[in-house]
Amino acid sequence: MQKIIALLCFAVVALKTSAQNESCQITLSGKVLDATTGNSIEDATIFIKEQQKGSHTLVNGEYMITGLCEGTYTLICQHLNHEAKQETILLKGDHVKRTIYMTCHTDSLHQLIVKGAKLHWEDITVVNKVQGVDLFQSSGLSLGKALEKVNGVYNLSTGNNINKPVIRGMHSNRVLILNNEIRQEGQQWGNEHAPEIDQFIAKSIEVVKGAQTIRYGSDIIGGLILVNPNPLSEIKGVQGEINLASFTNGRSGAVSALIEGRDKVWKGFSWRAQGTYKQAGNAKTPTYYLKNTGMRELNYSLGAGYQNKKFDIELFHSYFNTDIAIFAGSHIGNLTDLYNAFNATQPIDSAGFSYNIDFPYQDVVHQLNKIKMAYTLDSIGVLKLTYGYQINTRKEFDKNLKTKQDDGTYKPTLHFLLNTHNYDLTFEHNEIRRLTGAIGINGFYQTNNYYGSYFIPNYQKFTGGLFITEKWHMHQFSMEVGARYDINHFNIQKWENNILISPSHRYSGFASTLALRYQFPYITMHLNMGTAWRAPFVNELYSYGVHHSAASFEIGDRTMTRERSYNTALTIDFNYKNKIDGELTFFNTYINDYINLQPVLPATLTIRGAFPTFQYSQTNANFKGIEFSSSIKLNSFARWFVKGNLTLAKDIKNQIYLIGIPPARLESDIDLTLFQKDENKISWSLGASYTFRQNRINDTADYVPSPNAYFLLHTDIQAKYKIAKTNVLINLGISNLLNTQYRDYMNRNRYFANEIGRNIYLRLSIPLELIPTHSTNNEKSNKI
Amino acid sequence: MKSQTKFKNKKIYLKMKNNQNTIKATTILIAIFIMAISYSSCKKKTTPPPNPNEEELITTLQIIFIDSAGVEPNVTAIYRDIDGDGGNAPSTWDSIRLKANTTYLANILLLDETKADIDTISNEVLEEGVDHLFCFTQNGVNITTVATDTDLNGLPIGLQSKWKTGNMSTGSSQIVLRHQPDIKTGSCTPGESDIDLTFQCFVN
Repeated sequence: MQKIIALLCFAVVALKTSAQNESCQITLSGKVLDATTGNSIEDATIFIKEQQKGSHTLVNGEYMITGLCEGTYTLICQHLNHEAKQETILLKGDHVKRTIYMTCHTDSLHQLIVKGAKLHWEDITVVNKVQGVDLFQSSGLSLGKALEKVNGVYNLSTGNNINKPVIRGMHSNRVLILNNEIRQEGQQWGNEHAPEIDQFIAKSIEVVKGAQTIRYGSDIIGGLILVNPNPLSEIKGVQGEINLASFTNGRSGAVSALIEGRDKVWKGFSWRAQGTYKQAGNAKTPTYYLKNTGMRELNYSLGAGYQNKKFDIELFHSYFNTDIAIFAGSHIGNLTDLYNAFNATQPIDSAGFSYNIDFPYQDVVHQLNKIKMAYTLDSIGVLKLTYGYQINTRKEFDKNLKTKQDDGTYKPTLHFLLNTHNYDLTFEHNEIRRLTGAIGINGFYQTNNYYGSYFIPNYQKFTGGLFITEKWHMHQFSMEVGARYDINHFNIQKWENNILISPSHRYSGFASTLALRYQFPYITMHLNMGTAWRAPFVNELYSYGVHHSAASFEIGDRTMTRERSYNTALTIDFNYKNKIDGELTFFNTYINDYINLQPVLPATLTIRGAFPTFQYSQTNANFKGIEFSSSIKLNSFARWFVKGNLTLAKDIKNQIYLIGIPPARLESDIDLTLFQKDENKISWSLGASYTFRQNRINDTADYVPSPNAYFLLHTDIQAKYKIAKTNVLINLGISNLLNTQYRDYMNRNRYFANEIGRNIYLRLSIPLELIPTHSTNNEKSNKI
Repeated sequence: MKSQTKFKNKKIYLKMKNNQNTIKATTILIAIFIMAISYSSCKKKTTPPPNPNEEELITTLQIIFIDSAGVEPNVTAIYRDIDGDGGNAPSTWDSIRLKANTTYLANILLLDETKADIDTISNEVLEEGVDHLFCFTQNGVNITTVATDTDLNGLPIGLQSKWKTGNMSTGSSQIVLRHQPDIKTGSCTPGESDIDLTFQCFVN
């Protein structure tokens, strides 16, 4: 409000200036910086109170006010996220320079308030971040589970250990995951194929919903997930971290350790090593154990980098290996078996507790190798080259088709080897007339080979795209536009009636985005629009056979064309002095030629019985919905959080609801600070969530009704305590506090079993400073 | 004045040097990039995928009924779907026609007829008898069925069974092969179906 008044006064004064005397020729300039970080502050208002003259700072924090009169005046500096500042200034001579330091609002930064779903205000696009304490509170869980903290993100689960993030009702090939800047390429077409990423690698996880970005590909229809480790360039001294997490349900545990450092002599050189081990046994519902639901995971990563003023090189290697047991009751012969399983009060195939991983199970190994180089071209910009090589080996062992090989091991029923070479060459230019941006090419070359049974064919895929993205700022208004053109080429090798055929497919198209942001006092508005496209994937083109875990006969269609989405989202973000804040989003995504599995008659007769037939076909679909989250400061030690979301998805052509869309959910938390002194803090929270029943379903596309609505409670004690000079984080909590029996619509095991019951957990994070940091200034100068 | 020009030249010189370095670095970057790409394309070798037709498949179920008294002629009913799931409809799907008030001994044969050497899958079922169970359900026909063979644990398998017909009737017979690894109890409920076929059935 003050800002608007200031601007109005400014306009009035501007009319008067012509009448002012000649001594009013002084120029005031300088920079506005953050007092703690030293970073420049953009869009701060600088204002000479008595003369009613002012200006705004640019991206680099610089400002300039001309035509000022001589004398001693009051300078006022204001910014959305900082305390207003008043200083007395003497204006004399031609040119006066003044640097102004501003401090953040006393509570904390705005983006730290909205629990689990932090809106990153610096971005023009709407980015939700999970980091710090929120990320710590999901350590030991899968990446998908950690992302559930973001409003509007669900999980497509297969049991407790396989979680695939669903953003606004879309998942798998419609959601892109960037693991340490490399496009994650596993066999993500499969509903039971979870992202192969160690959650402990991430220092922050960002979610960009909808088609807001084209920087990383044209096929981001549902959203983008960025898994970011701490940049190597930020390492100082030698430090480490130990993370522990243990859970009573499944008697599971996770240990993760990290050590990183910067060379003492060769200051530009930094390194990191990290490793994780996880193990879980059979999970338990409130009344029975789920047979064969354990898992094991062993991961490590190594990184090294060298930075100097101009050149930056980074090498990264990560290894991810998981063995996940598949719930014994979930593999079925035909539709009759499915109904039998569904109608049973508890799975016929039951067991007690065990850590054993028996048939059926998955064994997945994912390796990533990355090299990244950046070269700073004076005053022009930065040239970045990234190359990634991923090797994904997926073996699935079926309970029914156990065939021993010569060496005594069992032959996997499904066995895929996916090799992906990612490339990215980008030039990021410096600011030119308020414009910053990047231009580049990226894509990948991928080969898929199978060694077990046929499910998807062998193929080679090449994608390449040229993109440009530009940002523009003017006072409170910011804008970002992006456009790209991509080509996708597939070569396929497939057996058909005993003949090896090798068809090829080519798809191409444009994608573009537009993001607008306007900052009012206390309110920021974001408007995002984008169009993206996705080529049909090989499973959608060439599937043909029984999908046992779904009891369906799936048929692909090789004549399908690309699908194109048109996405619009409006986000209103508000914060009133940290007392009340929130975010409200309306979104709509229209997808032309949406690729969908649709039921067709008649059922397919096989020797194993009848299977409902589903065929991949294209229709026009529309996804719309609303997301909101808010927090209210009740008093000095209590804060109340509330959030909820709803997605409606419809097949427009046939006027039916799409299946597999997450139901609406409401969540509320209350946080109490029990103790706070210096940096030590103990807080307690109680949270509740209510998930509605999914009533918007298409009866012909699902065999059994959707599960009932459910209500869950959870509680946490969170402590940050200084023990032996390190800030130890402790989290003790209980999920499903009331041991509620329920089934979740988004879990594929809902046909067969209940969700897991009460789970008590303990988490610990211990930072270690092995060699303390010296002479930070030197290091700063070494950084780019 | 002179020193200033000198300084200016030096600046230009430095800038040129910088530009040269830039070009050098860019060249190196692009060279590495091309090397990486060509390395990856060199590795490209497309091995043909395994032929799914070479996998085990149950294409045929044959059930032979022999009159235990040796009076009535043998009856054979066949289900045959050579191309497996989907595709063409089964080429043969016989009805079961049995004489009234007769006791038949039935023998089930499972074949994979896609192979040059016809594979007898029922032998494997017999080998893994402890994991398999045939279940018979008669709908509307006067037949009672009992498995006569047993596995190592003394539980029925059902590759061999006794079909006792009553009076004239028409209906259907469902033959289900349950795969019950480690969970076989003699009940049809656990496990999953490897075979689930319904034959039209006439007793006359």
